[in-house]
Amino acid sequence: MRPKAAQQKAAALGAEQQKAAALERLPRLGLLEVITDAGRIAAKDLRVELRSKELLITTAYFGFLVVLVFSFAFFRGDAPIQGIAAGILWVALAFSGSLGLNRVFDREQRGACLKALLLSPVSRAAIYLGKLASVLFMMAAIEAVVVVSVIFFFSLSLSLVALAWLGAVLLLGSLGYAIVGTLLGAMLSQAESKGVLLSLLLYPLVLPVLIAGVKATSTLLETHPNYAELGLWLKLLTGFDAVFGVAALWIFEPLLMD
Amino acid sequence: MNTSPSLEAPRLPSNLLLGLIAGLAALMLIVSTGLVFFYAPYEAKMGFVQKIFYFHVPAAWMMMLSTPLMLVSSILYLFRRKPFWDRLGDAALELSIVFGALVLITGPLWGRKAWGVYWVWDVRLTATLVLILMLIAAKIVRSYAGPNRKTIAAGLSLLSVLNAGFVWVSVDLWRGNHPEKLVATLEPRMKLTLFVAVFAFHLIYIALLWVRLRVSKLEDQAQELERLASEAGLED
Repeated sequence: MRPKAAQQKAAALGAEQQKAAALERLPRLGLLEVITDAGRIAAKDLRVELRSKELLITTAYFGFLVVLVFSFAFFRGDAPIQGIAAGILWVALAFSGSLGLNRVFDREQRGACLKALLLSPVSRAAIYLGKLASVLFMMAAIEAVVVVSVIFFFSLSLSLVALAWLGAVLLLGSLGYAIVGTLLGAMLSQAESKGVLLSLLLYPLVLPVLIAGVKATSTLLETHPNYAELGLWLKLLTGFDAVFGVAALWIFEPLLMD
Repeated sequence: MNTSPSLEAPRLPSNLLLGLIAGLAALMLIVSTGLVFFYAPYEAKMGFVQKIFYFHVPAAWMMMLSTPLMLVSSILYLFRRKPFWDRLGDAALELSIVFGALVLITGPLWGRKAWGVYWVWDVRLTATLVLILMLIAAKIVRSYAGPNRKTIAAGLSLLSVLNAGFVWVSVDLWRGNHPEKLVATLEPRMKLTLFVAVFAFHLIYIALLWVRLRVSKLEDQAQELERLASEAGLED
């Protein structure tokens, strides 16, 4: 009698353990799984966005308006003041980006989608990376509009090489911006008055990106770009992206645990 | 009802010790002010304005003590979830803001005399300013952000310290003109005055931290009692 009961108990325990192990394996934590899950989330966002184009059109148009307002504000005689184009480019990016960041997570709030996403068996890292990818996509759309309008309003002439380098600066800069912005957007997604809070937190946090971006861009806009200086700022941007990327992945999970 | 937290008054020895530290802090502050004005010699170039130094430097050191404390307790709170770490992180965050604000107020007063302008975009100034801005934002979030505000504030504390490091590097690449570390080269009487001031600031810091921790503990207990009361159906 006794051994049988023990056996049964052991079997039950085994089943329990198996179940627990299966549950433990449930969040898909392998590198490949995380990347494919992130890709799916980003693809979902992209599909939703391409159907309505709501976010892309509003933020990109806002970016254009910011550039327009600034070029009205900084005129001397008939020509725009030289040397401020780089600053205006990055301010326009920062403003319209924050407008978009507010909305990226708004969409998930509707119908408690974020809760559903958190309950699904994907890892937190995959959710973060997927959202990061969709924010980056939005930033790329904004950048296309803002860069063209800055070039237009400030009559800039960029060589192809400088343009390619500008692309690299914009890529690294918007990556850093999106890393911080996505994390903040997720953190504040349940907060009241999150629009204001997001801007309060975002601008000081992305200050290194803005400094490096403005400095790198303004040297590129000169007739003879100083590539040594450019390299320095690109290194700083890469360092920022790496450090904040790791930190974001590290604290994203505990931040969304509640 | 055995689970209800008790709103016990802090015990006597702890009260006594806190009172002792606070009293000593007040005394040392008076002594240090006396030393600053009647003992430390006039600085040759700067004259009277240099005396701000004995207030500015200790405040900056307290900020540099407070910020790592905040960082460590925020990380511990994020991964351990013990209410104590949240309280410690919050207290250290507030004190970082207070001492950081002192630094940012006394610095420009000195800078006006030394550099001719109140503000320059120097490494330390910019990094301190951005750090304090971030911490204020974190404090705002902690007060208004709703359900998981404590976690968010802890995460933000971590991010703001990381960010201050990057601001430091980026402004360093850009420009720099803050006086280098000159404590080692100070005249002996100036050095003594500075160290008395630093000691006084440490005592003030400990006393403030202690009081703040006690207040947050009581706040937490009061909230818990309120929650229990409303669960038990007691209104108001």
